[in-house]
Amino acid sequence: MKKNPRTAAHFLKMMLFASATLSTSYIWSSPTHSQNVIALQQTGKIITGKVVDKNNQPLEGVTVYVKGADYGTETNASGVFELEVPENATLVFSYLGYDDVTQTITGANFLNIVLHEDTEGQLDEIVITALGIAREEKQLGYSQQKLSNETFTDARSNNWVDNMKGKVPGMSFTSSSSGPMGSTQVVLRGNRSVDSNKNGALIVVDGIPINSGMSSSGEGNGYLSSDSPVDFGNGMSDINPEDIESVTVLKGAGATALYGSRAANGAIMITTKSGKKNQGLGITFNSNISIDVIQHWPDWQTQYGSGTGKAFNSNGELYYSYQASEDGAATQSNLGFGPRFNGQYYYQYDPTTGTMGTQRTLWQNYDNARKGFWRTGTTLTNSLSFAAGNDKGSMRASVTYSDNEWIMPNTGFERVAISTKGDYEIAKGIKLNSTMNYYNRSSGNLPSTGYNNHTISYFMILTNANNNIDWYRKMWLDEGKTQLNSPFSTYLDNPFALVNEVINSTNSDTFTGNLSLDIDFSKNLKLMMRSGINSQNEFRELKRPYDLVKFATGYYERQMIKSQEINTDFLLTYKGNETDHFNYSLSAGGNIMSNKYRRMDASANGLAVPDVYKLSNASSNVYTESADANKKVNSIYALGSFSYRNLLFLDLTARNDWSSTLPQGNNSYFYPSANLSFILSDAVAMPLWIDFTKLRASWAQVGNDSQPYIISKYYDNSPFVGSAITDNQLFNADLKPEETTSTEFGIDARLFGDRLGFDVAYYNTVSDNQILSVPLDYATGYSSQYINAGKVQNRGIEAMLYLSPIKTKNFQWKTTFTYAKNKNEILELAAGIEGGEEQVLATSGTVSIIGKVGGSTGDMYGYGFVRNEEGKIIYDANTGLPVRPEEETYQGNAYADWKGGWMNNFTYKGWSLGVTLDGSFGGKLYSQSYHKMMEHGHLNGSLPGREDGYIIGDGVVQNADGSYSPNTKKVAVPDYYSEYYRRANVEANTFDATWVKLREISISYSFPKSFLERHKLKGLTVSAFGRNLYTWSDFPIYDPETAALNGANMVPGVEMGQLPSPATYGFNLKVSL
Amino acid sequence: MRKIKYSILAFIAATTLYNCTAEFEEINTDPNRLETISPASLLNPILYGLTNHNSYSAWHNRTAHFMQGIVPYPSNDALGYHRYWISDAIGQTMWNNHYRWLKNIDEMEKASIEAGDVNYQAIALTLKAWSFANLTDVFGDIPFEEALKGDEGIVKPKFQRQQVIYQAVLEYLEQANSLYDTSKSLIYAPDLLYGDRGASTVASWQKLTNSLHLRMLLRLSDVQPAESIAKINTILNDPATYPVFSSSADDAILINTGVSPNTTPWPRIQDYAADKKLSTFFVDQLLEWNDPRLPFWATKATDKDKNDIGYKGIPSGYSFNEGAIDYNPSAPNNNTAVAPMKNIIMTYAEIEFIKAELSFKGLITGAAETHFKQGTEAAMDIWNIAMPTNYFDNEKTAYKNTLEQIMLQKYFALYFTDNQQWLEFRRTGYPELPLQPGLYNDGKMPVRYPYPQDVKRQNTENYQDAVNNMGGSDDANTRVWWDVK
Repeated sequence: MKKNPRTAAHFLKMMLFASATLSTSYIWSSPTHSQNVIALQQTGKIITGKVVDKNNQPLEGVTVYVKGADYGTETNASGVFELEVPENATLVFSYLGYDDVTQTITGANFLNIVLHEDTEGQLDEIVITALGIAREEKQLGYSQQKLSNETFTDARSNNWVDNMKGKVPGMSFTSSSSGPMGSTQVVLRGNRSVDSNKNGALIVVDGIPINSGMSSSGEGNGYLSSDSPVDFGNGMSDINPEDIESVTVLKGAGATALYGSRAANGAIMITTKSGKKNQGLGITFNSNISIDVIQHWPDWQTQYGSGTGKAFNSNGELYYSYQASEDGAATQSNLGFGPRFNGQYYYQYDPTTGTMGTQRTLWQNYDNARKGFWRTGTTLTNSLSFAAGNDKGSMRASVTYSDNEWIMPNTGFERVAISTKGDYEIAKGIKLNSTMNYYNRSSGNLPSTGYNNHTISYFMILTNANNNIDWYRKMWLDEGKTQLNSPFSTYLDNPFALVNEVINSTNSDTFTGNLSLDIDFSKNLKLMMRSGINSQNEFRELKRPYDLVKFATGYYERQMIKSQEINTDFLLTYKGNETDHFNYSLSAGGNIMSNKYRRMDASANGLAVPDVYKLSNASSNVYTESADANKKVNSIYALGSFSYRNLLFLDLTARNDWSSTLPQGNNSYFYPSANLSFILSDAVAMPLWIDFTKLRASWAQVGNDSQPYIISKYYDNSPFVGSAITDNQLFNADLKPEETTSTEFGIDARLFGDRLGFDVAYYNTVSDNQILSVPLDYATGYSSQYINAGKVQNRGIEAMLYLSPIKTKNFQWKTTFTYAKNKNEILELAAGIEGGEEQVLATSGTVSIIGKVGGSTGDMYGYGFVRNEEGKIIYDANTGLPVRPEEETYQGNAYADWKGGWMNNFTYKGWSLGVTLDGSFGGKLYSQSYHKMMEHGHLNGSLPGREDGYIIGDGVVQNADGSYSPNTKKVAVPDYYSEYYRRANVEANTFDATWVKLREISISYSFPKSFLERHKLKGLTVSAFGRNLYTWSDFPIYDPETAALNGANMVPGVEMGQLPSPATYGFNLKVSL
Repeated sequence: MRKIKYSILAFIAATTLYNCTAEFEEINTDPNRLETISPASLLNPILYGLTNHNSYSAWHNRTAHFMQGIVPYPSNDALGYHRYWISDAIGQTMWNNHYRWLKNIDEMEKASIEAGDVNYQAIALTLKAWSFANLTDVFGDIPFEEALKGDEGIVKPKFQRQQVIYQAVLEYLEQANSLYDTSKSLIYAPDLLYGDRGASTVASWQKLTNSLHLRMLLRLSDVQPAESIAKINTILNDPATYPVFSSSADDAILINTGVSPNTTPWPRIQDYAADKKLSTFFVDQLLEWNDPRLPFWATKATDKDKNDIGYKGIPSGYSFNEGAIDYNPSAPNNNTAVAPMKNIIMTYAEIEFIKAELSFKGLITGAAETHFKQGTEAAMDIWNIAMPTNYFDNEKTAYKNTLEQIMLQKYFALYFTDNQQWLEFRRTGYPELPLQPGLYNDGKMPVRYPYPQDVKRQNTENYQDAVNNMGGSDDANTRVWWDVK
């Protein structure tokens, strides 16, 4: 396609004016430059030609450009190009995977060009490693995986991170399922820590680490606390998938030893797209629309309505009466043990009068009682990007806007992302790079999560099948908004008020930017200097109306949060002169990281005038609380890379960190690594069908520090004036840095002309002195303490196998399997711990994660049933209810045994079909929602016994002589379910967490070149996709993959009032000009 | 160009060499939270936290159900404490709250010793005695000397026998009484309990100290009668040294104003009585006495047509057919819980009932009848209700000189006073509560809370020792040391 440089320059100028990136705008707005372009066009001549490979096959899409100018073209499907060039111009032909060819125009108007494949071949993919150092893949002695842009754009989700699901062995996800923001944490190679906030991989965008921690309101925990947590999203989800060029997953510590403490759990290195050198203006427009539909509901029973199951009429039958009536006493209850829906009539609630009807009405199930509350979610995302480059540099900018309406009414978010990236050679040997991103994320309302009166999951758990959801649509009983319409229970807040009046809003502005300078002193000596900033300002409001169970006279809170991280680093590299046998490079560098967090929360507990959300409307003193956190880490490091005959590669690294958060004397920690890569296929003669075999080995240590302010004593804030309270968390003045030692071996092989390949890694990671906050018995005066927790080992295998079973000119099928198995074992517990054999690591509700030597950090303990030798449940002969055990026992492990994925990609001409399944096998999940719904008789599982009016527990009773006989005691139905599924019975409420998901189906069509040329387009692709389409699982609530937030984190293996997770269906249109 | 390049390199070298760990200590100092406190800093949160817990969690949600003060209805919780069905969680909040605030009291004591402020020190000792007694009365043996010492590295504290703990808390109260200096005022922000009394604040605190002392001595009057009675007489015979409550004006009642942060435990007043009714025992007794507290504490029952049918409760521990209750029973009246709400630590009425019991038993001098009547009147004063002058003219209310009658009136005097109704029942067996067939635990009143789950989990060995010491089983039927009846 022919370019019009005048238009291109015009576009560029406009774009640059808008983005106002001073550092780079100089390049493009240079007037002389534009004039040159125009002049060239006026005096040129037309050159045509054809580009072929060594087999004389035409190459399509080869970039042809004029050296020293910023315009060019591409070859068409026949390898032919046409370009207007000045006299004596030099043309450069460039094609991915092939060596560039330079040809000076001497007189001929037609050129025949042959391109040869890169001498290194395609195997030498460049990957971005720690500190942003670009390396050839074959030199690396550790496991990594690179994902291309299509991974993130083909079947787009609201958080690009979700698109990696099932595609990277050893990568797992901790998702909160707590709303549209859906914070997700990426975990590589198993949970090192039970503190979920400490397992997340470091996310680095173009060299700038970004905030990937959970971002919660910090209000209470997930179980009936004063307020409920809200998932406000994290910086990770801000990134626009369209801007991602590639993502490199660095799994082991060997990959990240150089990145320091924060990458102890691995790192995800995101490289954003940049303008291509020597390419004319490219404009891409992408539009994506998707809908979210709830795919799975709890197994609600629909045959019985409200009632305690203990109120009988004079005929001895269960009956219902909203209030006391001629039928009998009021039986309205949150329990669902009332009479069966048999077409009978009772005195029920009358929505028109807001009280008991004067006539009996039909006793019936309403399908909308729970489902009617939800809606179909929609997300619309549009993005526009511009890119261009000449031989001095390149530039790219993009703007993206997303608008989400989530499945819960009146919730959703808007996102704006503006990104610019540019590089320019400002002087010979000095290159300036800059990336600037601005993100705005806002939401008028996000759901409160967990199990609490004013969360929707609480309502969904407790409401009855006979209560039409529409009866709640009237939210207020009075004009003045002081009395909510909650006709069925004083515990249940009106669900529509929970989304329309209980508001959690946020508006956050994030700026990330970096500026780096690459200086070549000589052929051998190079210097990189970089400074990056990640700065976020967030404003949140929490509004609670009058008459909520937890807020009688309303509540209003504003949270002002400012966080900033600045990283400044440099790396000086000396590269030895190239020889045939031995090559080396030596680097040394340093980093200063400074982290500042400022937060001011002001709250009005009680509003003088209902429905007015201003601090000035507080009915008592406004309570303000500030929370700051400052941290600084200084580091120096060195790296040596050595290679022998281009087939044996050795990397040695060393790093020392000094962290402000640890006690003096313990705050300096050193860690080394060594990585070895051996290209077996180059070293020895291999059969022809083996294309490539690499063996790798890696050993590394990584240190880690803690959060600030936990090494000395402080008093906590109290809302009483002039007061304080003791801190429930015991500080630790002797905290030591964590240390993780990893060993890894791997093999990477590609066979049969790359038709078959596999990559297998074995790793062994030992974490020593993990810094954990563990629960304490309150009798110590504290509820938790910070400890160095001993030694935890994670061992595992990660494997990836890919095949191209069919590969013809038009049709291709590529299939990839991923597999990861991790075994987590506690080797030692902290020396200082009394007792020494056991350490409670976390407690959520009635489930405790207890660490024992030889056990795992995911071992769940709690009460089960008492059983006889035959395994039968023992019942109490008097009550007929299961006997309660004295001791808490092992109930299972929260972690999956193994995880796997299966990806398929079919291409036929311009058509492409992708199908991804993934699954998690083994592991246990305790469900608070299940407990409560069973106890309340809302699930199908609670139906047995109802027709008879009693139930006999399946098991035995103990006789006086110690023998057992079958249990025959009849128990009232509600008593049976209440006791059998009591909250503390972890055994009865725990499920196999195995699931398999149909994760992605996407079908896309790229229009052929002929069509594109006719319409003067560079590319046009349309696609349709579905995500999370189906789940195979025994889990009876919404989704076994997600847990709910518990404060700012999640306890593995515990579900606490989760929200539905929808399936997504969407369309995508991508146009390139 | 070369010059520029190398000067950049020199600049980097210079900044790197400057290693700045020196400022780390400053960076790692929290700019918000306090590192030091005054003797009074922790007092109001302690007072609020403990009284709030005792009213809401200890009394309203637990022991009032044992003691037929409150009956859940309908049965949203199928089993329930009113049926003597003990859940695993019953003791957790009591344990956590009291130890949490005891830690604050401990720090308050240290801060007051450091500041040389004897009055705050005496207050801290008083609160410490009160809170430890609250705990040990419920659980029996508990961590004591080794408790609250997580910061000294003791994360699995040993339990101690109840008699040791009682000995120590009695000494706290003795020491506190000797420390008070009524010539000095409390110099920091006024406390929530007596802070509004200006010059007499310290004197009021001292009366609370000695009144609590009497309560605890009475509790031991069966298990170690000689020492207890002797000490009671010492206190009562020397009011100059041991001032105790002498009128309802001395009542230790923390008032929740309803103004944040001093809010009532029930954010929405309707939740105070939601799905809760009053027992037949409770209602009928007050009806029988024609007691003016009944309308204040109870709502009237209504029939199915919403007609007023007077005061009518339901049997506590009722058996299964809820349909048989064809009326809307009397429920707790919101008056009691609406702000300004009273959180009772101890009242003058209790002192009078202590005296009534002891004079009835002939252990102190004085007329039991006078103390009984003064106690009854003072118990009405708590709720600002004037005792009708003819109150005792009724045959049912007239003084009969029985312990049963004294304890029955005391039961009503202890309404809303943490676990005291239940503790007095455990000590004396009064009042006699009517039992329903729907009870669990063989119809036996629980006499103890099992230790919380967390303790078993966190402190297994010491827990096991304590259980063994107490007789081998950690259940609701194991009697504590002072419970010898």
